[in-house]
Amino acid sequence: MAALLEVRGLCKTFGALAVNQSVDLTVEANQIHALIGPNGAGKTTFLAQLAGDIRPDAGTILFDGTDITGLPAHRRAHLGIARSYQVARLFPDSTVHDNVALAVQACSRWARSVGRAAAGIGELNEPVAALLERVELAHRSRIPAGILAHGERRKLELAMALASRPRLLLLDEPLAGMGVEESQATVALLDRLRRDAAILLVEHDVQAVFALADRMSVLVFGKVLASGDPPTVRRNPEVQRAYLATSGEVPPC
Amino acid sequence: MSAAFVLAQLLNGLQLGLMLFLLAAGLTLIFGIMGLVNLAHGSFYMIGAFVAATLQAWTGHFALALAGGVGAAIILGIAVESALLRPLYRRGHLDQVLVTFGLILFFNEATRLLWGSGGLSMQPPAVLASEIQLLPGLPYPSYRLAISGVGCLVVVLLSLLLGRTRIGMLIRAGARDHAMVSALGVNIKLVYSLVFGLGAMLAGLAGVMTGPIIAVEVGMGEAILIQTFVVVVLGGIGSVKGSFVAALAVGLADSLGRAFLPLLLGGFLAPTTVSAVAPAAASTVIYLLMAATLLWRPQGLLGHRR
Amino acid sequence: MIPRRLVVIGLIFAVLAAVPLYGADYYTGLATKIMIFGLAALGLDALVGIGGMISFGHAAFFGIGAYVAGLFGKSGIDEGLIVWPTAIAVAALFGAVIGSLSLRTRGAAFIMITLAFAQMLFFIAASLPALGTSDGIGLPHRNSLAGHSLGRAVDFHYVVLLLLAGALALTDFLARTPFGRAVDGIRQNEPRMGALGYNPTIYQLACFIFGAAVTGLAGALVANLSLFAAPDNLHWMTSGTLLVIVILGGVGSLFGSVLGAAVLIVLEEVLAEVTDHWMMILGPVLIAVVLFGGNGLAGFLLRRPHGRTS
Repeated sequence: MAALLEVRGLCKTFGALAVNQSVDLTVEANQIHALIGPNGAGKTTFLAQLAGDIRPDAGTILFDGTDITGLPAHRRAHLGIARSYQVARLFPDSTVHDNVALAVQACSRWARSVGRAAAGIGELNEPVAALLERVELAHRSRIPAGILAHGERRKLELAMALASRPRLLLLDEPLAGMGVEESQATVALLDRLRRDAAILLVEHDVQAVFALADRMSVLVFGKVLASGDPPTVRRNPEVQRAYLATSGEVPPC
Repeated sequence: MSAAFVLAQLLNGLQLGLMLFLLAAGLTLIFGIMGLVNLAHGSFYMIGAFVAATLQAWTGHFALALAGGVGAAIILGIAVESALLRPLYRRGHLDQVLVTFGLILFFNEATRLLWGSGGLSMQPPAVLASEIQLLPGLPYPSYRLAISGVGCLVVVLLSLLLGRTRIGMLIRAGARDHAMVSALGVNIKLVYSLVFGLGAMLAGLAGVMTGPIIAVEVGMGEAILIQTFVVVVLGGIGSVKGSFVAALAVGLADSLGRAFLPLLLGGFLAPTTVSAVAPAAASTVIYLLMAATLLWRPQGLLGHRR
Repeated sequence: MIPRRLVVIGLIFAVLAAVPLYGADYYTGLATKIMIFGLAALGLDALVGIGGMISFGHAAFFGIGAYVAGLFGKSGIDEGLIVWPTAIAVAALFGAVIGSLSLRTRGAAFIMITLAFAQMLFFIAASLPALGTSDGIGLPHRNSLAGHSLGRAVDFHYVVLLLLAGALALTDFLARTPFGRAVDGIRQNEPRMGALGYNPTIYQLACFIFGAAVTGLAGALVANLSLFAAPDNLHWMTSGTLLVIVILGGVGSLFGSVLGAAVLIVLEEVLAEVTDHWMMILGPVLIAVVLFGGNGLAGFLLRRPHGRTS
């Protein structure tokens, strides 16, 4: 069976800085693939290229067998790729409900119908409420997204990413800024999500990564140092050395 | 159509292009470093020309007029930057556009109040008042050649400043990539004043140099500002090199368009139609050039895809 | 309770409707001019306030509307039901062309390009004999409406009032539809909307065309008011004036455009009485409003007691 996402030889440089150097990565359907690495390893840039926000200098991205390397972001979204951002990117002036409504509307058939009455937005209420319920934000639906707490923004990001019923979720540090309980609830949610979608997870919370990941890759200085199932990667001496050298943290053994 | 005529038009285009570059270089650097859309940039051009024309009328010296006009533009530029525009760098483009639009209204009306609405005239310096014989059968005003000479000199000096000095390289890097500005690691307010003063100086210089070959009047700043915008967009915002290439392209396209379009249209249109349509068609040449470039390279000739 | 916004809008229209009942023709004409510029600025506010596209060339569509009315007038057609929809359609068509070229860029380049295209049209109008060169085109008389003459200032005033109310209601309605909300989302965070699956350019272009069409109608009306289509209607000064009206009224408020037009036009009239050099006062006033003004008159009127604007 072909992989859901297949990245071959992805390269991106900013000026003199090679952020991604010939990155290869494969994500299978319905698996959680964790991407870890020290700060500045190029993880966010990598996700941005998969989502279509940044154009790679070289390499190809295959999604479900189709070459999407040159597609704009919105076309990829229609194919079933959704992403959340490291720094929550919401619509701060709109309410939590309206933020999700925008996301739901993006993939509904009448998104483009100009003539639809304002009352028609009511049709969105049900799916929006369900999504907010899923990330445990229903009680905050009427306040502007701009005044949400940090962890809540993450949840809203997640709800918006889920709105399109994506086949591949690109999540950039979904747990950052969450308290212990929130964090556990989100890990449980991601665990359940595996049934509907594959997830490429960038996360610094090592415990969560090892709890969730089916496979993992380590990115250091823009290169994939190791790739495989978590126990194997954990034992990789190069990975251990890289972690000691750059961040001082050791993945727990 | 003779070779001499073509050469004369090429020289005219070069001269217009170099003057446009003087304005565009400042504008593109100011946008690159400070993120400021400055509609009032043409005002420095106008003030330079008015002060110079006045000084020349009083003293009769072109050199004095040149120094005075450029000096006035620099002083005005730095004053406006530090007093009014600095709080705008962090604001959106809309606020910047409106404040600098307010400045245009003020400067134009103040100029009208001080100098009247009739406009002034300037003469080239006596040594350059004559025509010289470039080729047999091609007399060309020596002052126009001098304008191009000054323009070329500025291009060389500016490229030395931006390419060979530390501060210049930092400015250029900052203009191409706004995130670099915070990494400049020098007194940032000083850099702002320096860049704005430099921009105002170049605009003022262009105003003084152009003074003797056009009417010095209120509104001259905006006429050239809009052409300058075309140059800046065409070259790629933030790129001085791009502005240079685009300025020459726009200058040549405009001059050649005005000279040759009537002849071209005359090939298949009646003479009366040509005289009716040609001026309108000629004034659209540079905008069509801009539209075509946008279709091909939206980020401009040497601009970054942002 | 009726929302405060609707109360304010109701009051504005009540005042505008009352002007001809109590004022001389001069004041009626002034109020009509305010409504026409308010309508023109409404089209721009749809672009700037909802779509987040700062156009400094919106006078292009104002002028196009005016020239359509002028050309019809010259050829003897004066039925508003023909002239006005045509003005809207032609402005929309130009909006589609200029918009799709300008929207290849964003931000500062967009500002400069819209200005440049408007100026190109200005040069064409000012040098093409068919468009009257710098003299413009005179209209023999005002358009009629379904055969009824609008020659009396009062009749024209009320027709403009109705058109303004209709355009405001339509814009307001569209802003609340899924389409309008998507455009508003793109203003707030364009890359995010792309990642959600929206094609930002298509939505922005639709918004641009809509704004052009509204301002095109205003252009046809202004030519009827002054019986004249002039290159001035296309000039960058007019573009600047429209932007000033939008910000005076309150960006994104839509109805604020009428208030902004009222303030600017009355201020012009008053200052022009005092001095020929009234722009020397207007310039600094404008700068002060931008630097210290908050969100314009609409923001001021809708301010809650705690000071937060709704």
